[in-house]
Amino acid sequence: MSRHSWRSVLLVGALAATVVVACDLAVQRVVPIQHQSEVEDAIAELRRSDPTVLVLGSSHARTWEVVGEEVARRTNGATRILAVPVEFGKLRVYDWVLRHRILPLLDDLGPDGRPRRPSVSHVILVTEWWDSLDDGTPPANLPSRAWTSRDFLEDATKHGLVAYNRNWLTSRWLRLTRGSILAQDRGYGRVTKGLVRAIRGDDPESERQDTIFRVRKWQRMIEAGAEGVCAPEDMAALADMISILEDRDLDVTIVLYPRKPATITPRAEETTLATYAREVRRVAGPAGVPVHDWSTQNPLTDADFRDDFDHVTPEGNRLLTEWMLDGDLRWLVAPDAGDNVTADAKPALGGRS
Amino acid sequence: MSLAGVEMVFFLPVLLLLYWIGPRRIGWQNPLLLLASILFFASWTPRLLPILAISILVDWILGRALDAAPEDANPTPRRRLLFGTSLAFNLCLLGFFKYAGFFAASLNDLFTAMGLPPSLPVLRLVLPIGISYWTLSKLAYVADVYWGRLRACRSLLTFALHASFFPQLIAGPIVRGQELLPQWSRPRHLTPSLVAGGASAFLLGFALKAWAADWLGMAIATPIFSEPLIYSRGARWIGLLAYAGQIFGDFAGYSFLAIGVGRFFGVELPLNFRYPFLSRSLPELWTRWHITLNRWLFDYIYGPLTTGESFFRGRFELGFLVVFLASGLWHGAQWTFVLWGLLHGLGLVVHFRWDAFYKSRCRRDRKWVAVRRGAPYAVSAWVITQLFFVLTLIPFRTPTLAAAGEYFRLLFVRGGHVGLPIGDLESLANFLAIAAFLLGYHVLELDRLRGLRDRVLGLPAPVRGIALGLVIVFFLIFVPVGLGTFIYAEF
Repeated sequence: MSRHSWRSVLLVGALAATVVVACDLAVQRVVPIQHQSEVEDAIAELRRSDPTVLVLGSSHARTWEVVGEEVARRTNGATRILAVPVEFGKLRVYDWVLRHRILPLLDDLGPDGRPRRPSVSHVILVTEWWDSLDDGTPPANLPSRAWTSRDFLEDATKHGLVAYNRNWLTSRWLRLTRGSILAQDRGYGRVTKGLVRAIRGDDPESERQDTIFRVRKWQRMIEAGAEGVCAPEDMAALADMISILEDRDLDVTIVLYPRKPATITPRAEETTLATYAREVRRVAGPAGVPVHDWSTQNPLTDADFRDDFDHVTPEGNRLLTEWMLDGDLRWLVAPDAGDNVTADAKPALGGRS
Repeated sequence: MSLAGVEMVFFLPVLLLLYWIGPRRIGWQNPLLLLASILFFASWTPRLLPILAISILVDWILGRALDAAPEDANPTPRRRLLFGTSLAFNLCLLGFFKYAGFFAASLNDLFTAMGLPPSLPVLRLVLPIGISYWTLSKLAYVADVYWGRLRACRSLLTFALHASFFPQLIAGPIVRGQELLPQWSRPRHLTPSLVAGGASAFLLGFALKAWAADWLGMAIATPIFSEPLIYSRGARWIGLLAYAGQIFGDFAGYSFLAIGVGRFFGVELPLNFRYPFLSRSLPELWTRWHITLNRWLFDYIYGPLTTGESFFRGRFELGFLVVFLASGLWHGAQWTFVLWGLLHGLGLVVHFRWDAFYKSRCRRDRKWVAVRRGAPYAVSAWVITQLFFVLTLIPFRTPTLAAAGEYFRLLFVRGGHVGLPIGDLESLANFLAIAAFLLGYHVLELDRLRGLRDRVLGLPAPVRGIALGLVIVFFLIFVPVGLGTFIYAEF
């Protein structure tokens, strides 16, 4: 090892840190950081508030943040919606979140022995076929999106530090570095794509080719989903959630979230999507839980979906909000309407088929 | 935990803070490092922590007993017994966890071939992490005490730290008592050279492991080795070269990470890799690749075997075969590793026969000395050495002997129509950048270019600071979250 002085070591360190921060800020001008709510944020909000409607689902549940604002406006705050988005889906994960994160707060009693959150009367479960797909791997989003430090320590003590529970540490790191696009994007490619676009400008032909490639990829994925959709463990989790909520006298509604139209082939619609909708109805039916299948019947067009082909744009969310509040979920703004609209009644609502 | 994993972001700063804000006394530093090492081990296989603890205790007691036993020109029966006990204990432990399943499965295969029913239960045991490393390290310690090269460690705590120091616990370098025990007996002080040297080694290790090895493995080697039939002949060769880069990056990277982390705590670990792809002969290669393992094998197996009183005395070529068969088995309980070891043992035998033959020519005619010093000889020697090394990596990578043979055959026959599994410009750029990095890393060690490297490293501090910042930005963007395990941690 060569000899160094403290002065040179500190200078190198300080300059390196300055370069990293400067690059980060420069990249943020091209690729802004997108902050999204997670289970942790929703649970923190639930601690502080007393919502009337809880929405539990994957990242798609974030649509109900927009819905919530509109509903609060129309009802003067009488209906308060709180969305709990568990990024990356899976019914067994929603079940875990319901049991371990939400129920303790719903059952929480105040000093007077009465529930702290007495207003919750309805739960909307937002799901899609992927949530029941068994791909043979444990759902990594459970530790990364839903665990607390206690859950992590319990698991690490039992199994050691493994790839599965390491997801919790990764999500801690990402939360710690929320202000850095470089840390947030680590390996996901948004920065490189954004920088390339900023330098080279838009390339419509290459984007068109990329879109065709990705549409086909999505189509194949959804078609292939027919093999593993409706995994018993996930369907059991759905039944469990319904049972838990019904036991607490909470009304339950299930929504099958819209998919980007271009990603749905007739084959996928007839197999994967139809199978999932049928199985969800089979599980929900005996409890009288309404199921609204919006996967192909909704007002959204391809242009209403983001670049990731999975999530809806802000404009799309507003369109979807208007549509659902005039249709299946109008009870959110007109409680007397009741939630008795079934998927069979969908064409009458003017949905796209 | 792994040294390049996200957990280090939390573990290392807290530990460093506690270590350096506390008193600069071994009474504080050693127990803290031991506690950290226990946590580190437990983070892999918490239930097997007692195995490590018992094994440390046994060797510490035996070492102390050896120290207390009277020394003589020849080992006394008592010393032989104590050493033999340690040897048997460590080899049984290693054999049970690592080889019991292998030998049972092999015997069952033999029974089946003889028309008998396979009757032995095949155990699938979870390995205590790094058992191959800390077992060798402790064996070296006991052997050195036995041979009088080292005094036994008086403190159990110090010995436990020596055997389990977390940076080198799971994948080496394999340290010796002479190297590490003196360092545990004096307090460590933070110096700017330690910080700079530690950061350099850590950064180099991170680049080799997290960037080069992981990407080469994921994007090139794994897809091609999984389905070699569909790839073109050229792609198969590149897949093999990528695997060579992957395994070098993985293991050398981990070793540099360990050295870097060691320096952060004021502890100097031995070098484990020294530009192995510059080697022009197999003996040179084994003084550059996994240096601490080969040093161990030659000092504790080859040396005693070929200079002792046994059948092997003076049978140096047989000694090579034994050493490399042991090396193969050490790498894994599979016949593919045995084949790898056998090939390298034979390679060394061929090298030494060639060397003896060539020297005899030189003695007869001095012009052969000049030929040997010439560039064509050096280039030929480099090509043959590296080609042999790379080709012998096939059984190292493939799961069965049949698969190894098939991959070797496919290197020389017309292939499928699929080229390299590089789909986009970014992947191609990454591939070329990694190739340039590995090439540059080695080439800059050549005599003619070393000056250039030293000049770059000696640039003024502001330039180095900016360069370091840009390297960190590069890693933040391109090195994916969630690194794979170290290949060598499984040995």
